[in-house]
Amino acid sequence: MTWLNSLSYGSGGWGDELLHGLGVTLGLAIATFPVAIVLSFLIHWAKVSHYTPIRLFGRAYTTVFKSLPEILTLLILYYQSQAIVSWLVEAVAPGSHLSISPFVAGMMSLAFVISAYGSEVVRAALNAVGKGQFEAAASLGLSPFNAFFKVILPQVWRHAIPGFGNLWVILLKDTSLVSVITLFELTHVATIAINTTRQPFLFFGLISVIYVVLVTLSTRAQKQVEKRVSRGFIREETGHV
Amino acid sequence: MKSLFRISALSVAMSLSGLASATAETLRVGTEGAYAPFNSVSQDGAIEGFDVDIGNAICAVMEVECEWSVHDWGGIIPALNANKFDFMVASMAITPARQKAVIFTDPYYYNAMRFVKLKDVELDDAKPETLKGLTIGAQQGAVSAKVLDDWFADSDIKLFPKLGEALMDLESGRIDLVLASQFAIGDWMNDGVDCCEFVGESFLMDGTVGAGIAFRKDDAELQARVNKALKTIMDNGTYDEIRKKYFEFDIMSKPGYVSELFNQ
Amino acid sequence: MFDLYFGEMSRWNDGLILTAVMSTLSVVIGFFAALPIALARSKSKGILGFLALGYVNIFRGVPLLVLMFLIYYGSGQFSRELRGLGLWWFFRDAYYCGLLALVLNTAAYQAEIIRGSLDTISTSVLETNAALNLTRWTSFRRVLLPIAFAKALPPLGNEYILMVKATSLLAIITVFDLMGQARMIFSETFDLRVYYIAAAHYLVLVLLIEWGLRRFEARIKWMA
Repeated sequence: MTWLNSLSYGSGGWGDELLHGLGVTLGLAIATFPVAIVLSFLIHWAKVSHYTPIRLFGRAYTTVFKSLPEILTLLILYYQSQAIVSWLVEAVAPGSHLSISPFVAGMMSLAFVISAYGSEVVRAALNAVGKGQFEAAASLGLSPFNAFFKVILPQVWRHAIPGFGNLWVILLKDTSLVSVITLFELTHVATIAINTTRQPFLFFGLISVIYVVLVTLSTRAQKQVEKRVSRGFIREETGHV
Repeated sequence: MKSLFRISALSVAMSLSGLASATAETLRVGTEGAYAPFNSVSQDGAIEGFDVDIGNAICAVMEVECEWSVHDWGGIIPALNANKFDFMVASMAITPARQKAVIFTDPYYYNAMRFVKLKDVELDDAKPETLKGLTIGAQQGAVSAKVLDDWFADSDIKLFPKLGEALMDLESGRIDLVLASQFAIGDWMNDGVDCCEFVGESFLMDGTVGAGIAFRKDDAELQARVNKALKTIMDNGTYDEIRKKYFEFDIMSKPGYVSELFNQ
Repeated sequence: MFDLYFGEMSRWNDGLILTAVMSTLSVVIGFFAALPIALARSKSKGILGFLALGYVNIFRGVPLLVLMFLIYYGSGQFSRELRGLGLWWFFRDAYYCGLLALVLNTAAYQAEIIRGSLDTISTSVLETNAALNLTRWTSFRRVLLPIAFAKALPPLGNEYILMVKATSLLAIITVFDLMGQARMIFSETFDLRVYYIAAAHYLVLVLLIEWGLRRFEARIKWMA
């Protein structure tokens, strides 16, 4: 039962490191998700903008981040953003430095990728709400700002939750890629543990189970939220909309 | 849930802490962290090994704080050049190709490479002729990969992101040999591995002058300071104390070059 | 920039071909693996349906990177047992291991896509088939499958593109696709522009596939 030892909590085993890695994985996903959602709206608006350059930018953004493998986006951003930031810092305050940590680089690239897909979720959800709602709000004298936040947005969520729920699951799994730039999240901790224990089956098997559990819990939670926001839209007796 | 937010907030905060002023001098040192016994990450997340002890001894002489971080081997020179850390102590062999991208100190040891083979594979010597048709593993971007490329064209060469992965594949029998640092392989074999044994002599790649500490090209001033500190620890016995902790033998003796070995 | 491309042209081409072959193979094999799973999900309420659901949930839950490591290095740990079972020739090869991981992953997603389109085929089609005295197998093979395929084509096309991107993970288990070649050239030249060249490759490849798919979709649109 030596394999149990290597999972134990404390100095003899990897239990506490794995737990810490799990924390970083969840932390990264939770920190990235709101950024990705806000970006999704912005990119959607860019794509329907009246200004051609902005519209083209929106389209190029979606095409690029949907075409490049996430790992490539991550590597380019990790090295390139550092070069840009170092150059900027050097110009503002020579002699000091600002490091782009793997966490921040991971957050940026995952937010870019997820929002490229998210902008399409936003488009579909806004279509489902319909233009009429906005026009009605405007005719009641609401400013566009108020119309969006008070009238449209509360209705958008109901249509966007399945789409965003899927993206959350993708995001959760994509955090494993950030191990490539040595962020100490779940997958990276497993590879380090394997380096000394030489037990790849045990550690990769274990973290596979952890990811499946996380995804299953997320899907459950999503179903609950969907039910909640659909209250009043579904006939209790039949379950139909 | 709250504590999770705290973790992520903490990680973001940590990333911004790199904004240090130049007065209280802290130097950031980079290494790979997957190359025992020179540099590796322990169970409690500490970065340790011969390189780390040497680096810390140098920092102590220079009277500066040193902050260690680990980086993927394939991208470690770009990470140095992108200013992710100030200098690198990672057992990196000094080669002309690398000298085009970074500058080095004098060598702090000679990291000779040697073949390790499966016991099942019958071989008396490791030469290009005897290894014909066999599968040899090495780490991507390492000098051993370059040697395989230059000298072992008739063998099947397999490159791995990490040395540990090549050794795992050797143990499972997917590959017949691995070419890597004899010290790193020795450390692995001392760890209760009985599949494998050394074969042939150890050697250096032509043009390499041992392992050096690397800096950005525009950082010659830091290079000079570290080089001086390195000389100090070699002269005052600190270096030998650290060396004895890891190796029972001299690692400053210079082995022969690969061309002397295979060109007879 | 140009020297990094033309100087290493044969490596870029090797990588491009491997990426195209591995992603196409995994999507095609994955499709046939997904059919029985989709049928079980769609038609079976019993143990088969439950197993199919379990398969889908597991392989959509494990990150592909972890699955590849698990299959490749995990199987290496049991090389002696696998030799005994006569399976080592398969697991010994990094290409087979990588392909297996890709297929297991895409089959789970494709099964859900096909199930979705099977479920939308109206009962009148089934009734027509019954009225024509078609056997259930003939009706499935000659009528339901083509319709389901035509309906599922847009999401299957997306899955193909996702697989092109997913093959980039093969490099971690020593299979040198486009991404693997890029990382290798990067580790030798220390030049970030290598990754921009790789990005250009992926962009062109994905846009080409999208263009091809749109033409193909237009041709079989009448069926959906």
